[in-house]
Amino acid sequence: MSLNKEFSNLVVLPEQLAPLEQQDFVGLENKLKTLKLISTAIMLVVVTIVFFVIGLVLSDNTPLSVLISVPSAFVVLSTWRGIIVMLGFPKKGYLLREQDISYRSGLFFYKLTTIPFNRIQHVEVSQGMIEKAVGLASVKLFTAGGSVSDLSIPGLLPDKAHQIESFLLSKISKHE
Amino acid sequence: MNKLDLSIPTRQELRGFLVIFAFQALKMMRALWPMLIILFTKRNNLPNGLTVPMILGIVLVLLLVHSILYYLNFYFYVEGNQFILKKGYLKKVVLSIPLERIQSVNTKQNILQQILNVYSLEIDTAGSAGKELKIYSLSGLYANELTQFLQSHKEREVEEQDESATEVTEEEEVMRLSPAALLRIGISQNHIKTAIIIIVFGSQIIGQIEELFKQQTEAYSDSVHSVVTNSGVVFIVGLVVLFLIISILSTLVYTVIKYFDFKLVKQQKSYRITAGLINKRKVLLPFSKVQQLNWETGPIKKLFGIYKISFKQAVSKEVKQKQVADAPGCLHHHIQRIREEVFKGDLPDDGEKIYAHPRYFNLLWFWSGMIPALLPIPLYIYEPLWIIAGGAWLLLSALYCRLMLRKRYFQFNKSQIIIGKGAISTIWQQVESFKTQSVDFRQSFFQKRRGLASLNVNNASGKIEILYIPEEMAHQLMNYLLYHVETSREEWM
Repeated sequence: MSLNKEFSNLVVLPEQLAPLEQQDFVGLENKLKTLKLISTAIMLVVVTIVFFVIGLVLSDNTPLSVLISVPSAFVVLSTWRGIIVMLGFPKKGYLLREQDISYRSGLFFYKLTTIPFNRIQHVEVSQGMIEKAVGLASVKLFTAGGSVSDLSIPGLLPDKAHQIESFLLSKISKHE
Repeated sequence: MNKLDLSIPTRQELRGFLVIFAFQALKMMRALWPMLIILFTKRNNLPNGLTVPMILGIVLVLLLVHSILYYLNFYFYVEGNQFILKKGYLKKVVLSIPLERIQSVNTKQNILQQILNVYSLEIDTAGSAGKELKIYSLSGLYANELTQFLQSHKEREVEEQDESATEVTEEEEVMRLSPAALLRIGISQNHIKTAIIIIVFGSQIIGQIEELFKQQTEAYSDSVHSVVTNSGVVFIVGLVVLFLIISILSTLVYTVIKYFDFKLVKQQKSYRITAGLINKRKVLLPFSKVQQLNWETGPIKKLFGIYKISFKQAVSKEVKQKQVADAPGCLHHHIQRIREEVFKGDLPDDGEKIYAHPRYFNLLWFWSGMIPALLPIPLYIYEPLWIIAGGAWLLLSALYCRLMLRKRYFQFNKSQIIIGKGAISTIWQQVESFKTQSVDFRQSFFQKRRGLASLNVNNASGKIEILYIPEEMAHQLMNYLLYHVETSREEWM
């Protein structure tokens, strides 16, 4: 399948726009991985406890097979999630270039989003409660239109997040 | 040459006070209707000396006072580069909107407003102020003046260097809908959808009525029941035909009410749509603010040779309401003309059509065929006859997915992209590359094995999806789109 003529003429891009996929993305903080693993473990414990409370305390005649199989299913699912977090984490990363910012993620369902600076409406650094406790922050980018085109980069050190924010802000104001 | 000075703080038109009152009453009704129901059902438990009319009277007087105060404290004017709207008496609100942030200005007229000869005006912004910016009662003169001022402001800014820009606004009719065209549109709507809505609501209403008149109906129900069971197939066919007729009639009525006297007029670099029987709508569509054009046709529409085109404008985050304006009943040459006029540059129609890879079928069929067919496996074990139904479903969904696959393509040139999709009906979407907001490159595990990928090209009104194209092409297209956006100096809205 060949691209049409008009396109291939324009494929000769300026140097600074070297193909996106070949560049080195910056990975996220390892703390985020730990956080996700811990939250998976906590989730497993909570769900299992809830299950046993319902199965043993609230009803008397839950079959033994159910009492064994359901929690082991929980364990399998959590382990699976843990593996995905472990293997998927190195895939996550962001890339700042002169004209745009990209974020990629996904082990089985890979997704790479790029927003050019001249389309960013505003930028914010956000820190949820848990993020604050472990010393992480996210940078959120907003573009015009629905939420489909918004981007959030998690797992950054707060200093780094603010650096990225001010860098982006300086870039945005240049465009206006 | 302004006859009106827009910079003077102005109140709404006094003769439209009734409209303001009505809107306030509606607003209150919406908030308080559960209380009203309680009031009516528990009317016997009211404190001594209070009657329902008295309470309603008090509420009405309060509402009247509220409306008067609301009216007296409602001002709007243009100051420098901002449109300012002041309202509220207890809580004062000042809304100031930079003129360049204004997305679109729409005027409307409902039946009451038509009688009083006033217009309501809505201002949409790119930001979050949303539908706060609504003026209910304006004279036609003022509404026109304001609309033109707000609309033209940006264009004027751009054209300031351009001395030749004349003040004369030339108007040119692009299309209008005759009663016969309305009939065609009404018939070619999706009646299955309407029929389902009618059946669902109808059965609920019938159920409720039955509950109410249970005693009376019980006597008849036996005879009705026997009729129903005896007539069998004839009855069901009759019912379906009846629903179809009701559906066609109701869509016809709906179409006439919505699109009566439909006109699409070209005015410099924008379109103006006017339509409506009871509510007169007037929508202004500056070309620069149209983010996406969608047009579609279906089996019956094709028979008549008509299409429906929608102009999609930027949506703001708070207002999830769709910012689309429709022009139904377009003929092919209308579509061609609109597509050429709205977007700059050549149409990508001559480019090669790049179809989705056949693997796309697997994804579609997996979700719409396999999963629904495999879920009721326990049923198959107990009732093996259901396997036939499952098999039929697999076959039908395969045919449907095949249609979807064959209609899914995209083509592009240096400035625009077109997507084709659909199954029974056919839908096309056209966007301008430089209006792209962001690009997503997507690749599932299964796509990666085959060297395929998908792209989401997001714009301010939504997105278009380029599915299952070769990975290398997806990368190149993404890089090109980004390059195009990043080097573009044009305003995307």
